[in-house]
Amino acid sequence: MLRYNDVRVTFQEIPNEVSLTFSITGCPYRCEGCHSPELRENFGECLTGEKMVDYINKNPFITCVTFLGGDNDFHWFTYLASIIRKNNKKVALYTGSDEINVDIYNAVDYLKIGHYDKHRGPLTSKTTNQCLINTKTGEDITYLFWKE
Amino acid sequence: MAENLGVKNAKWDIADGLRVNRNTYNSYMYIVEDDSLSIFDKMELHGGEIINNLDGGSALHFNNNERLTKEQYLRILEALVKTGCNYFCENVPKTICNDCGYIHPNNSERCIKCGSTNLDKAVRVVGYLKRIKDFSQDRQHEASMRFYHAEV
Repeated sequence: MLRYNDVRVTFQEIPNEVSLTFSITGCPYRCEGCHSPELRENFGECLTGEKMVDYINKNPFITCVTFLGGDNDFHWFTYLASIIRKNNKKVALYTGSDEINVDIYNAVDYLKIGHYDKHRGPLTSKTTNQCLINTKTGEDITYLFWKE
Repeated sequence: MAENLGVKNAKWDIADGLRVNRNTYNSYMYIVEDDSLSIFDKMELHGGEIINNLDGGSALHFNNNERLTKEQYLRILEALVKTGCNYFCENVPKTICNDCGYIHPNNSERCIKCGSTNLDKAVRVVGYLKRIKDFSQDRQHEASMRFYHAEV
Protein backbone atom coordinates (compact mmCIF):
# COMPACT_ATOMS: atom_id res chain seq x y z
CA MET A 1 0.00 0.00 0.00
CA LEU A 2 1.12 3.54 -0.73
CA ARG A 3 0.16 6.66 1.20
CA TYR A 4 0.10 10.27 0.02
CA ASN A 5 -0.04 13.64 1.69
CA ASP A 6 -0.71 15.91 -1.29
CA VAL A 7 -2.30 15.79 -4.73
CA ARG A 8 -2.53 18.63 -7.26
CA VAL A 9 -2.57 19.44 -10.96
CA THR A 10 0.93 20.43 -12.11
CA PHE A 11 2.65 21.34 -15.36
CA GLN A 12 6.35 21.39 -14.51
CA GLU A 13 7.19 17.84 -13.48
CA ILE A 14 6.53 16.15 -16.83
CA PRO A 15 7.13 18.32 -19.92
CA ASN A 16 4.21 18.66 -22.33
CA GLU A 17 1.84 16.75 -20.03
CA VAL A 18 -0.85 17.98 -17.63
CA SER A 19 -0.20 15.93 -14.53
CA LEU A 20 -2.23 14.98 -11.52
CA THR A 21 0.69 14.75 -9.13
CA PHE A 22 0.73 12.73 -5.91
CA SER A 23 3.35 13.25 -3.21
CA ILE A 24 3.88 9.71 -1.91
CA THR A 25 5.16 9.28 1.64
CA GLY A 26 7.51 6.66 3.07
CA CYS A 27 10.42 7.49 0.76
CA PRO A 28 13.20 4.94 1.41
CA TYR A 29 15.95 7.20 0.05
CA ARG A 30 17.96 9.60 2.19
CA CYS A 31 19.39 12.07 -0.27
CA GLU A 32 21.33 14.87 1.39
CA GLY A 33 19.64 18.21 0.72
CA CYS A 34 16.31 16.59 -0.22
CA HIS A 35 13.70 19.25 -1.04
CA SER A 36 10.88 17.41 0.76
CA PRO A 37 12.39 15.36 3.62
CA GLU A 38 8.98 15.21 5.33
CA LEU A 39 8.04 12.53 2.77
CA ARG A 40 10.46 10.09 4.44
CA GLU A 41 7.84 9.37 7.12
CA ASN A 42 5.09 6.92 6.24
CA PHE A 43 1.91 8.93 6.77
CA GLY A 44 -1.16 10.26 4.97
CA GLU A 45 -4.17 8.61 3.44
CA CYS A 46 -3.93 5.23 1.72
CA LEU A 47 -3.98 5.51 -2.07
CA THR A 48 -6.41 2.80 -3.06
CA GLY A 49 -7.42 1.81 -6.58
CA GLU A 50 -10.94 3.15 -5.98
CA LYS A 51 -9.56 6.48 -4.86
CA MET A 52 -7.34 6.66 -7.94
CA VAL A 53 -10.30 6.06 -10.27
CA ASP A 54 -12.24 8.72 -8.38
CA TYR A 55 -9.42 11.26 -8.80
CA ILE A 56 -9.14 10.52 -12.52
CA ASN A 57 -12.90 10.91 -13.01
CA LYS A 58 -12.85 14.23 -11.18
CA ASN A 59 -9.94 15.52 -13.28
CA PRO A 60 -10.86 14.69 -16.88
CA PHE A 61 -8.45 17.22 -18.41
CA ILE A 62 -5.26 15.69 -17.08
CA THR A 63 -3.10 13.64 -19.44
CA CYS A 64 -0.86 11.90 -16.91
CA VAL A 65 -0.76 10.75 -13.30
CA THR A 66 2.61 11.55 -11.77
CA PHE A 67 3.97 9.94 -8.61
CA LEU A 68 6.65 11.74 -6.62
CA GLY A 69 7.92 8.55 -4.98
CA GLY A 70 6.09 5.26 -4.85
CA ASP A 71 8.60 2.53 -5.52
CA ASN A 72 8.74 1.69 -1.77
CA ASP A 73 5.84 -0.68 -2.55
CA PHE A 74 6.38 -1.42 -6.22
CA HIS A 75 3.70 -4.13 -6.35
CA TRP A 76 1.15 -1.56 -5.26
CA PHE A 77 2.65 0.99 -7.60
CA THR A 78 2.34 -1.28 -10.65
CA TYR A 79 -1.24 -2.13 -9.60
CA LEU A 80 -2.15 1.58 -9.52
CA ALA A 81 -0.28 2.16 -12.79
CA SER A 82 -2.36 -0.52 -14.54
CA ILE A 83 -5.57 1.13 -13.29
CA ILE A 84 -4.41 4.51 -14.58
CA ARG A 85 -3.58 3.13 -18.01
CA LYS A 86 -6.97 1.41 -18.21
CA ASN A 87 -8.42 4.89 -17.72
CA ASN A 88 -6.41 6.16 -20.71
CA LYS A 89 -3.97 8.32 -18.77
CA LYS A 90 -0.20 8.13 -18.83
CA VAL A 91 1.86 7.24 -15.77
CA ALA A 92 5.03 8.93 -14.52
CA LEU A 93 7.27 8.10 -11.59
CA TYR A 94 9.93 10.20 -9.89
CA THR A 95 12.21 7.83 -8.00
CA GLY A 96 15.42 8.53 -6.10
CA SER A 97 16.78 5.15 -7.18
CA ASP A 98 19.87 5.04 -9.39
CA GLU A 99 18.83 1.74 -10.90
CA ILE A 100 16.00 0.86 -13.24
CA ASN A 101 13.53 -1.83 -12.17
CA VAL A 102 12.24 -3.53 -15.33
CA ASP A 103 8.70 -4.04 -13.97
CA ILE A 104 8.44 -0.38 -13.08
CA TYR A 105 9.97 0.72 -16.38
CA ASN A 106 7.30 -1.24 -18.24
CA ALA A 107 4.52 0.13 -16.02
CA VAL A 108 5.22 3.82 -16.71
CA ASP A 109 5.38 6.25 -19.61
CA TYR A 110 7.93 8.52 -17.95
CA LEU A 111 10.57 7.57 -15.41
CA LYS A 112 12.77 10.00 -13.53
CA ILE A 113 15.70 8.23 -11.93
CA GLY A 114 18.66 9.29 -9.83
CA HIS A 115 19.19 10.32 -6.23
CA TYR A 116 19.45 14.02 -5.49
CA ASP A 117 23.05 15.18 -5.52
CA LYS A 118 23.22 18.68 -4.09
CA HIS A 119 26.46 19.38 -5.97
CA ARG A 120 24.97 18.46 -9.34
CA GLY A 121 21.47 19.80 -8.82
CA PRO A 122 17.96 18.78 -9.91
CA LEU A 123 16.65 18.04 -13.41
CA THR A 124 16.62 21.74 -14.24
CA SER A 125 20.40 21.93 -13.75
CA LYS A 126 22.58 21.04 -16.74
CA THR A 127 25.06 19.32 -14.40
CA THR A 128 22.41 17.01 -12.91
CA ASN A 129 22.99 13.28 -12.42
CA GLN A 130 19.24 12.66 -12.65
CA CYS A 131 17.39 11.98 -15.87
CA LEU A 132 13.83 11.77 -17.17
CA ILE A 133 13.23 8.98 -19.64
CA ASN A 134 10.35 8.62 -22.06
CA THR A 135 9.93 4.84 -21.79
CA LYS A 136 8.01 4.57 -25.09
CA THR A 137 10.97 5.84 -27.09
CA GLY A 138 13.74 5.19 -24.59
CA GLU A 139 14.81 8.80 -25.05
CA ASP A 140 16.42 10.80 -22.27
CA ILE A 141 14.28 13.97 -22.29
CA THR A 142 16.00 15.76 -19.41
CA TYR A 143 17.09 18.49 -21.85
CA LEU A 144 13.47 19.70 -21.98
CA PHE A 145 13.99 21.15 -18.49
CA TRP A 146 16.94 23.25 -19.58
CA LYS A 147 15.42 26.59 -20.45
CA GLU A 148 17.36 29.75 -20.96
CA MET B 1 -10.08 51.25 -13.64
CA ALA B 2 -11.00 47.98 -11.98
CA GLU B 3 -7.60 47.65 -10.32
CA ASN B 4 -8.37 50.71 -8.17
CA LEU B 5 -12.08 50.02 -7.89
CA GLY B 6 -11.31 46.84 -5.94
CA VAL B 7 -9.91 49.00 -3.13
CA LYS B 8 -12.71 51.56 -3.33
CA ASN B 9 -15.44 48.92 -3.25
CA ALA B 10 -14.02 47.43 -0.07
CA LYS B 11 -13.90 50.89 1.54
CA TRP B 12 -17.47 51.68 0.50
CA ASP B 13 -18.67 48.39 1.94
CA ILE B 14 -16.90 49.08 5.24
CA ALA B 15 -18.52 52.55 5.32
CA ASP B 16 -21.91 50.90 4.73
CA GLY B 17 -21.34 48.68 7.74
CA LEU B 18 -20.97 45.45 5.77
CA ARG B 19 -18.66 42.68 6.87
CA VAL B 20 -15.45 43.01 4.84
CA ASN B 21 -12.80 40.33 5.15
CA ARG B 22 -10.13 42.13 3.13
CA ASN B 23 -9.30 45.64 2.05
CA THR B 24 -8.98 44.83 -1.66
CA TYR B 25 -11.48 43.00 -3.84
CA ASN B 26 -10.72 41.00 -6.97
CA SER B 27 -12.90 39.99 -9.89
CA TYR B 28 -11.99 36.36 -9.22
CA MET B 29 -14.50 33.65 -8.31
CA TYR B 30 -11.88 32.23 -5.94
CA ILE B 31 -9.80 33.65 -3.11
CA VAL B 32 -6.50 34.91 -4.51
CA GLU B 33 -4.32 33.03 -2.02
CA ASP B 34 -6.21 29.73 -2.37
CA ASP B 35 -3.78 26.94 -3.25
CA SER B 36 -6.25 24.06 -3.18
CA LEU B 37 -8.04 24.62 -6.49
CA SER B 38 -6.60 23.38 -9.77
CA ILE B 39 -6.74 25.50 -12.89
CA PHE B 40 -9.59 23.25 -14.06
CA ASP B 41 -11.56 23.84 -10.84
CA LYS B 42 -11.15 27.55 -11.49
CA MET B 43 -12.45 27.11 -15.04
CA GLU B 44 -15.61 25.52 -13.62
CA LEU B 45 -16.03 28.53 -11.32
CA HIS B 46 -15.69 30.85 -14.31
CA GLY B 47 -17.48 28.41 -16.62
CA GLY B 48 -20.76 28.48 -18.51
CA GLU B 49 -22.99 27.39 -15.64
CA ILE B 50 -22.05 30.48 -13.66
CA ILE B 51 -21.05 33.20 -16.10
CA ASN B 52 -24.19 32.78 -18.21
CA ASN B 53 -26.03 34.19 -15.20
CA LEU B 54 -23.82 37.27 -14.89
CA ASP B 55 -24.39 40.62 -16.59
CA GLY B 56 -20.71 41.59 -16.68
CA GLY B 57 -17.38 40.17 -17.70
CA SER B 58 -15.69 37.61 -15.50
CA ALA B 59 -12.15 36.88 -16.58
CA LEU B 60 -10.53 33.78 -15.19
CA HIS B 61 -7.06 34.79 -14.02
CA PHE B 62 -4.67 31.86 -14.26
CA ASN B 63 -1.76 32.99 -12.12
CA ASN B 64 1.05 30.71 -13.16
CA ASN B 65 4.65 30.72 -12.05
CA GLU B 66 6.06 29.51 -15.37
CA ARG B 67 4.99 29.51 -18.96
CA LEU B 68 3.62 26.22 -20.22
CA THR B 69 4.44 24.29 -23.38
CA LYS B 70 2.40 24.32 -26.58
CA GLU B 71 0.90 20.89 -25.81
CA GLN B 72 -0.13 22.05 -22.35
CA TYR B 73 -1.71 25.25 -23.68
CA LEU B 74 -3.70 23.19 -26.19
CA ARG B 75 -5.05 21.12 -23.30
CA ILE B 76 -5.96 24.33 -21.44
CA LEU B 77 -7.83 25.64 -24.50
CA GLU B 78 -9.73 22.36 -24.84
CA ALA B 79 -10.76 22.54 -21.18
CA LEU B 80 -11.84 26.19 -21.56
CA VAL B 81 -14.14 25.22 -24.42
CA LYS B 82 -15.61 22.25 -22.54
CA THR B 83 -16.24 24.21 -19.34
CA GLY B 84 -17.72 27.16 -21.23
CA CYS B 85 -15.18 29.57 -19.81
CA ASN B 86 -15.03 32.24 -22.51
CA TYR B 87 -12.90 34.90 -20.85
CA PHE B 88 -9.48 33.85 -19.72
CA CYS B 89 -6.09 35.36 -19.06
CA GLU B 90 -2.87 33.82 -17.91
CA ASN B 91 -0.43 35.80 -15.85
CA VAL B 92 3.17 34.67 -15.53
CA PRO B 93 5.35 37.11 -13.57
CA LYS B 94 7.77 38.85 -15.93
CA THR B 95 11.27 39.78 -14.84
CA ILE B 96 12.49 43.31 -15.65
CA CYS B 97 16.22 43.98 -15.26
CA ASN B 98 16.84 47.45 -13.84
CA ASP B 99 20.48 47.38 -14.99
CA CYS B 100 20.34 46.35 -18.65
CA GLY B 101 16.61 46.84 -19.23
CA TYR B 102 15.94 43.34 -20.54
CA ILE B 103 12.41 42.06 -19.96
CA HIS B 104 12.32 38.29 -19.58
CA PRO B 105 8.84 36.86 -20.22
CA ASN B 106 9.21 34.42 -17.34
CA ASN B 107 9.89 34.40 -13.62
CA SER B 108 13.62 34.25 -12.91
CA GLU B 109 15.92 34.96 -9.98
CA ARG B 110 18.56 36.77 -12.03
CA CYS B 111 18.68 38.56 -15.37
CA ILE B 112 19.30 35.96 -18.08
CA LYS B 113 21.17 38.57 -20.18
CA CYS B 114 23.51 40.30 -17.72
CA GLY B 115 23.16 38.25 -14.51
CA SER B 116 21.99 41.19 -12.41
CA THR B 117 19.79 40.61 -9.39
CA ASN B 118 18.53 44.21 -9.46
CA LEU B 119 15.15 43.10 -10.77
CA ASP B 120 11.50 44.02 -10.66
CA LYS B 121 8.61 41.66 -11.21
CA ALA B 122 5.82 42.80 -13.48
CA VAL B 123 2.45 41.39 -14.42
CA ARG B 124 -0.05 42.20 -17.09
CA VAL B 125 -2.80 44.55 -15.99
CA VAL B 126 -5.52 45.36 -18.55
CA GLY B 127 -3.18 44.64 -21.43
CA TYR B 128 -0.07 46.43 -20.20
CA LEU B 129 2.92 45.25 -18.22
CA LYS B 130 3.08 46.95 -14.86
CA ARG B 131 5.73 46.68 -12.16
CA ILE B 132 4.19 45.27 -8.99
CA LYS B 133 6.06 47.90 -6.94
CA ASP B 134 4.07 50.57 -8.83
CA PHE B 135 0.73 49.11 -7.68
CA SER B 136 -1.13 50.98 -4.94
CA GLN B 137 -0.16 49.89 -1.41
CA ASP B 138 -3.39 47.94 -0.92
CA ARG B 139 -3.08 46.27 -4.31
CA GLN B 140 0.59 45.40 -3.67
CA HIS B 141 -0.46 43.69 -0.47
CA GLU B 142 -3.12 41.73 -2.32
CA ALA B 143 -0.66 40.90 -5.13
CA SER B 144 1.78 39.46 -2.60
CA MET B 145 -0.91 37.06 -1.41
CA ARG B 146 -1.76 35.70 -4.86
CA PHE B 147 -1.14 32.01 -5.34
CA TYR B 148 0.83 31.14 -8.46
CA HIS B 149 0.58 27.59 -9.74
CA ALA B 150 4.06 26.10 -9.55
CA GLU B 151 5.93 22.84 -9.38
CA VAL B 152 5.42 20.72 -6.26
